[in-house]
Amino acid sequence: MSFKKVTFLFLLTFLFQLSVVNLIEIKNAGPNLVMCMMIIITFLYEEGYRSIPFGIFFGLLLDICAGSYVGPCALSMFAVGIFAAACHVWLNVEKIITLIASAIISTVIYQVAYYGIMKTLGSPMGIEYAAKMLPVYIVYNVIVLVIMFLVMHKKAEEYHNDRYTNEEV
Amino acid sequence: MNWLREHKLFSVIAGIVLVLCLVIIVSFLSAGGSSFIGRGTHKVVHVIETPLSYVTSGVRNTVAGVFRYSSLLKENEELKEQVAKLEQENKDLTLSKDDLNQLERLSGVFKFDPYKNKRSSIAARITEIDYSNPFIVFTVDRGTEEGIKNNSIVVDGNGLVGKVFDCGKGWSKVVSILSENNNVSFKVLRRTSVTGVISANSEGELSGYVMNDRAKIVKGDTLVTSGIGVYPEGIIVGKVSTVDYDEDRQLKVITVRPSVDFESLQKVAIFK
Repeated sequence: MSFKKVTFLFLLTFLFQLSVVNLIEIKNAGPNLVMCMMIIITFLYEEGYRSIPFGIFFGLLLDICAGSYVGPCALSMFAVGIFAAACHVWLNVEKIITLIASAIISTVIYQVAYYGIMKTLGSPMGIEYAAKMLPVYIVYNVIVLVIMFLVMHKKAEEYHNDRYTNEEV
Repeated sequence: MNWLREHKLFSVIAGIVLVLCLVIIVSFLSAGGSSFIGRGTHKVVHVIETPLSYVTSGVRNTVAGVFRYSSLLKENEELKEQVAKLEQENKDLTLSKDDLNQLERLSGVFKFDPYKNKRSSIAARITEIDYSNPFIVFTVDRGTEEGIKNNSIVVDGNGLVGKVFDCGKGWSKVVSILSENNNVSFKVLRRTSVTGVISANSEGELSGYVMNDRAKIVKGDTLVTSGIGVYPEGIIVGKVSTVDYDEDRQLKVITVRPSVDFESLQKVAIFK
């Protein structure tokens, strides 16, 4: 996937994250579109790990626009990026069941990392409350990732086919 | 250096983590305030996000209106009754023009300015909010050009929302009372001699204690800010949901349900 396309997709998810998610939030919880985009690109494309810097950059932007401090979202995003890259290497990530399992673990990693950083910085929020919200985030992220997978999987296949065709030529 | 070259992947990961940790520490030390880079970025994002947020909140209100038509009709009837009642109360309380003029002349004699401490407020719309984590922090579309500054108080029609902790031209970042680390000093509306302190608790509510352990405070009591600290006097904070006596600390501890519905928050007022 070209640099321009990746930038455009991340920019779109970032803008939607701060406004359009407002339409589907329940109990102040919604999906993490930027994280889902980073995971799906890492999974579906050969050098998908290159999307991790995008995840970090747009995580920093999310922190700047709607976070108490700059950095927690970016660092959590980086942790998820490493996990997704490891999944890409070790697992067959084009199976939907692997994708769902990865989405669940990624959401847990993200929320634990984010909560841990915020708690270290003195946030009064308790682990019980954060844990109570976790299933909502998991459900949202699984749904978004599956939708993204269904939309982008075909495109990624075309990309792979084109590449192999070119190699044969 | 050789070791770093041999373990390239580890070095890159450790380097990124280190840089991000430094960013977090710097941000923490500046209390979440933005640098000039952050302010510039915020300004650009804000220009793009503002129309988008107007559209989404419009869609949200329309969709919500369709599904809530019957409940809105009922609410409308209740509000009509409430307005009629308030109008009557207002008539009873309003001073006649002559009385007011007399009092103003009298205040001039004592060099007393009744409006000296009166804060002006400004309406603002929430433009950016991230629902991917449980911390309620958002950006509104009014900023320093309107006289908003750090620690400006944010309220909505139901009560205290939080305070501004970072602002620039055209935007202000607000942290809610449920996500901030500071205490809120309160008094009971029904009995203003009963005072205490509350702060966000681990369950996403507010909890704290009453100064006098023999003070009469019951479930359902409305709490307002006492005027001590950042928050001005008289802003509704919430209703007491539980009252217990902590024998270890010998304090009457309370849990408070915030009066603001943070889920449906779209517009707020900011006291400059």
